[in-house]
Amino acid sequence: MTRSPEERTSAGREAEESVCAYLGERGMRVVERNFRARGGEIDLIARDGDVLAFVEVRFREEDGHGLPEESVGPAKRKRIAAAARAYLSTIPPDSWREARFDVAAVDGSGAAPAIRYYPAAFDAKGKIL
Amino acid sequence: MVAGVDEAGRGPLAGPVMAAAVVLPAGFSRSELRDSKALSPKARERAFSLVTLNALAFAVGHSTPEEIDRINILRASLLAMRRAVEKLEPAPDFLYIDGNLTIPPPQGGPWGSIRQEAIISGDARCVSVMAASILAKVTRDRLMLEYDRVYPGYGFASHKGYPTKAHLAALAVLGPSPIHRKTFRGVSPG
Repeated sequence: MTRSPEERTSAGREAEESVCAYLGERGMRVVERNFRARGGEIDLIARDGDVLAFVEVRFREEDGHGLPEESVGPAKRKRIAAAARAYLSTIPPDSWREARFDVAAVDGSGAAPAIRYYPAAFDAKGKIL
Repeated sequence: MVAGVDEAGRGPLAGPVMAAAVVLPAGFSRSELRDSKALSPKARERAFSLVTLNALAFAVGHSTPEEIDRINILRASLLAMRRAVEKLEPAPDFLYIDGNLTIPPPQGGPWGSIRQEAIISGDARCVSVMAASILAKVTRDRLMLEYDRVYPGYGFASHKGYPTKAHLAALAVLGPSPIHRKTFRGVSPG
């Protein structure tokens, strides 16, 4: 299926919405959405106590180009890491102990999209873990 | 719904025995949990998040040191598993249990309709049992870190209650703490 740019954005927002709800159910608190800095954007920033998770939300419908979670390329990972460093400089240093980069893949739309969640999917250098 | 069940902390001289029950989504592959048995605490923490963030349901349960002393460690670990399973929401209808025993079902309740199968070294063969093993171990380790603050001097933060040389030496000097298993060899003097 092809979508217009407007439809793509709204599908992406819907995917972010469902990941927010998903994280909330699992005891994580979403503290920022669409945080932009230093040329990068972080879809969601969530907290589990003193652990911070920078979450990249991937949404894609079946299009024969592989899984959505496989589509976070090296350049994208670096931009996310750069934005994350900027974010960390804005919060009190003692308010977090650990930070990690997660990827949430949202499959399909509608009432109950399937979410596959990968904590610590890559590190601050963009290396896949 | 199929749940994997495992326990951690049968061997230590102190602290509870912890059990976990986990229901994973279809298609959750074993490879995602690979290396989780590796000793690196960091890898284990990551596997812990991977399980808690993807599981359709999970729960932990434990038995106290007093219970372990009263009914023996084997029955106490089965009791801990039963408590974990009973907290699962929604209730499962099939359990894979690590080891060679199934959980003695209590009278009444939903247990009549839950089928069980014990699988030996299930923590290596069945992905949901592997997940339960990680949850039980990490949860227990975290609890022992807390106990280290409540009962300092024994080194719970490092050995988690297992009978290391340092632990036995501390026991010889300090005597047992309230969370020691009094019926275990090496805990009480004599």
